[in-house]
This record gives sequence, structure tokens and C-alpha cells, in this order.
Amino acid sequence: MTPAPANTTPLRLEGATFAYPGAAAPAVLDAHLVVAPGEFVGIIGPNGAGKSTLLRLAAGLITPTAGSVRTAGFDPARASRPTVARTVALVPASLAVGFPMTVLDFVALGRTARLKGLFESDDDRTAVRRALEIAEATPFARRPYQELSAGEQRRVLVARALAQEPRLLLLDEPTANLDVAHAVSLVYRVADLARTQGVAVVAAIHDLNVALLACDRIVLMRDGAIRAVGDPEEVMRWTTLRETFGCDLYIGRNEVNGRLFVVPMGREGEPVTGTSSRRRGQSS
Amino acid sequence: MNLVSRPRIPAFFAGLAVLLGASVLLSLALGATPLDLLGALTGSAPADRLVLLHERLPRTILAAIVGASLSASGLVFQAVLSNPLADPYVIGVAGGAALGGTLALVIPGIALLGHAGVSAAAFLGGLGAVALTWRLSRDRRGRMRAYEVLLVGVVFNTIASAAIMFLKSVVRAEKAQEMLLWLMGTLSSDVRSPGAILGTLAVALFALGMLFASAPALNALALGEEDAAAVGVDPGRTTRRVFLAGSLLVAAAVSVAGMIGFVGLIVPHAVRALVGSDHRVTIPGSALLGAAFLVLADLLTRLMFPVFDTEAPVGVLTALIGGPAFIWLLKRGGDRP
Repeated sequence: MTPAPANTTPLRLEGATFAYPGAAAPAVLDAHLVVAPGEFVGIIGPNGAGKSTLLRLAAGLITPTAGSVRTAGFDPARASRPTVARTVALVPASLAVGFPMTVLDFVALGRTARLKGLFESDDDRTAVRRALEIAEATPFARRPYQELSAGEQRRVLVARALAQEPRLLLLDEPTANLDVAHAVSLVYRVADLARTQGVAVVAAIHDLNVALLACDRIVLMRDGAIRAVGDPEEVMRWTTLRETFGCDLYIGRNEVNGRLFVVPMGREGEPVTGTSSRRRGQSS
Repeated sequence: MNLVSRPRIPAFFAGLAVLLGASVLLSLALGATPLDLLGALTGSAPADRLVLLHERLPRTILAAIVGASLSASGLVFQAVLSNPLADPYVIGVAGGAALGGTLALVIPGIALLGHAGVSAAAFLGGLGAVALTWRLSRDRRGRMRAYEVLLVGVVFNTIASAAIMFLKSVVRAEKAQEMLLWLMGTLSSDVRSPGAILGTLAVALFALGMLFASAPALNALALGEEDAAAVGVDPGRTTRRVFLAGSLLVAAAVSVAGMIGFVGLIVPHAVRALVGSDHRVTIPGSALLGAAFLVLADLLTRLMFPVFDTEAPVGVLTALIGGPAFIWLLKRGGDRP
């Protein structure tokens, strides 16, 4: 992967606002965020909080209705698509593809903006192989993308984004549909990439514990607004989480790795204990 | 793409080259009367030389250009419209070209110019239709929407065919017959001048080059507009460029050969069934296979001449062969990578 030059900030949002046409309220409202090279930022928040819209703004797929978005110094909605794609890669939340395609062909499309001519060079091939390797998608590289499981498709989407060799990697629910081992492995691999290559990572992650494993900073969103930004210790407070998600969460510390973890509480404000879950299991 | 070695692709192109070469040779040598090819070339058979240079050679070249143009445009229209049933004639350019050509056949001033006038009028009619489709199928932000292009094209074609029906009903019977033959697609018309052929060839090569250069972007477009944009492709620009190049190909083909059906629908499907959907392979592949297919189909119409004492329009033959072949392809579950 190309090391990121330190002179420009990978992502800078200044009052970025976006309202979908005809929508009553903006999907993202007055967002301020600066992401440094090598940083892994997790966006958490309930469904419809504006996480995906924030990522689409950062990818330049939509133009802010107010405020500004800068990726490595330029406006991703106005710069040419190849320029943006050489800097910013997005792993979308959806998995669908129109035409039948092998995984290798699919990941090779990540090289589109870097092709020197019409065909892939050795550099392109190497980048595709490394991307497949990092995303743990090499074993099914030759299979048709459509025939993979949802979790495998998700890893292939990550590989396609990595093949772009971006300085800013945006991930929309990268661990959705992944089993626990692959989810953990994926965020660790992406975190390694951030640490060793200086790639800035912004990921919308619905699984709070996965986010807590790897993120340097957490962005908490609700109703289109960023409610809190900071390191996990600052953001993950019982009251803040209750306001954001509308339910009580128990926050504990994992004694093995020292990281925080979150568990939903029972309806009466009590932790879900072994007894209560066993009772639920029997009744179903 | 091209990351795995694909032994089928070199073999595919080698096979196509052989097929096209053989078709051209057969088309030059055979016909209502067989030619002494060697004698014609060395000059020992002057009458055969005349037929070869002024009839068979231009006609074969035209068949190849038209077949290549229709197949390549059909392929890319299927891709940008995400519709496997799209053919070169779904967008308005075909109706415009047909109307232009038909008008030229009935307006006395242009009819005097012979087929050159018809070709020119058809080409202009096609371009006029593209301009109109362009204007009508853009949203408020000026982006072209594939869906609306399709709708506007279908409506425009219906209007054009109604206008043609009207013209057909008011002209004399022999004029109507001439129009019918032209509309069904034929290579037997008198487009034989080197100027007309080189002009058509130049337009076709330019447009094919444009399409080939857009091949990586077309591949990315299979991901859907937003994903294509994420990997660095401007979907709007790619769609516009592909429509323009495809329309040029259709206008060029219709202007010299009328509306030859089915080539542009079936050849792309055959190519995809054989080698997958990488446009860097399928665009040249469709052009070559389409050229060979139409050269052979046209040869068949000429071989049938002694039997029926007249030449059936090649468009009828392509549909008669193409229809069943298409259904066979569909049933054997083609169109896989």
C-alpha cells in the first residue's frame, strides 16, 4: 500500500450537512470531524442516525447541502471520480451486483482508477492479491461472487476497497453478516493497516463491542448529529449511551485486554443475568 | 480481470479470426454465380474481376461493418441499460434513421440522389433522434437516466414507425415495396461507392474505438452507479459516451443497410456465453463475431437467389436464423462467466 504523505488531512468535515430531497429533517446535520492519518475512527449510533450518509458525504457520492467536506485537501464531490477513487475507498453496506462475476474480477474493479491502459499491470495484480490476502478472501478468489455467503461477500467488498490503495478507507458496516472470528480478525487487520501504512479508517459499526476492540476514537451519532466524539473511555458512558440508543447498557472492562465492553440490560434496569436468559430460552 | 490465465480467450479470438477470414473468402467467391477468385485477382478473368471489385468486395465489407456495428452497439446498450433484451434499435436512433431514410425514398428531390441520399438522410435522422433523446431523458441536474433513455426511445420509435406507416400508405405501390425492403434490412442496395464505404468504415472504427476505451468503465458500471462511482468511474459520463458511440454505430449501420434485425441482440449473448462479461473482451469479440455472422447471412441470401429468383432481405434471414438460435442459447443457460 502507498504510504500516506503526512502533509494533508485525510478527512475534514466542517459543518457538513446533507438533507435528502423532500426529507423533513437533514440526514446529517452540522458535522465537524477531523481524521488524522493512521487513525481508526468508529461511528456508532442507532439505525437512521446518519452513519451511512456521513460516509457517503466523505466519499463524495453526495454533495453537502451546507458546510464542507475535504478529503486529502480536495472536495470529493467536485473532484474527478478517478482522483477521488485513488484517495478514498468506500466499502458499501449493500452486496448486490448486476452481472455474474468472479471474485478476482470483482476485486480487480477496485483498480479501475489506477489502470495505466485498458488492462492490469503487474502492480495492479500485486495490489489485488494483497487486498484479497488482507481481507481473507484468497481461498474463494476464483469463485463467482454471487455464489458466496453474505459474510464472504462482505470480505470481498473490503478487498475491493483495499485494492484501491486508499489513504482514507470508509467502511459501512464491514462486519455485518460476519461470524465472530472473522469480524474480530477483519477489524484487527484493518487496524494494522491503519497503524503500519498510515491509512485513515472511518467505519460505521453497529456492533459496539467490535467497535470497542479496534477503534482509537468513537463518534456517537443520533438523528443526523454527532453527539459525542472522543476516545472510548470518554464516549462510552452509561448516560450518553442511554440517551443515544434509548435503552440501558451495562459497560464493563474486559480484564484480559483492558478494553471496555457493553452488554444490554434487562428491562428493569438490571443486567441480563444467566438466570433470566435461561428462563427466556426455556419459554421459546 | 485478466488476472487468471484464461486459455479460452486467445482461442476465442483465434477462432473468430479464422471464422471471419473464411466467411469473407466464401462471400467473395460464392454467390448467384461462383467467381474465379484467383483469375479475378491476377487479371486473367476480367469479367470476374469487375464483379469482384465493384459488387462482391464492397458488399462483403459493408456486411462486415454493419454486423460489427450492430453487435457492438447491442452489447453496450444491454450493459448500460442493464437489460439483456436491449438491442441496437431500442433507443430512438433507429426510428430516427428509419424515418430519415424513408423520407428520402419518397421525397422526389432526394430520391434523385439515389442511395447516397437515402443513406445521408438516414444518418442525419438517426443523429437528430439522438439529440432529441438526449434532451428529453435528462433529469433536473442534467444527468442522463438509462431508464428514461429507454422509455423515450421506445416512444420515439413508435411515433417514427407510425409516421413511416403513414408514408407507406400514401405512396405508390412500388415505392411502398422499396420502402419495405429497405426497412427490413438489405445489403443488396446500390451503396457501392468507395466514398460511402470508407465513410461508413471511418464512423464505425471511430465509434468502436470509443467503446473499447470505455471498456473498464463499463465493467465497473456492472456494480451499479454508486459503486462504480466509488471505484472511480463517472457513471453519467460513461453512459453518455457509450450512448453516443453506440448511436453512431447504429446510425451508420441503418443508413447503409436499413434495419437488419436480431444480429445486435443475439451476437452479444453468444459472446458472453462463450467468454464472460469483461467488455475488454466482449466488445472486440462481438464486433468480430457480428461481422462474420452478417457476412455469412448475406452470402446465404445470395445463394438463395437462384432458388427463389429474387433476393430475400438479409434482415429476414438473420431473424429466421437468429430467433431459434437465441432460444437455444437461452435454454442451454448461457450468459454465465
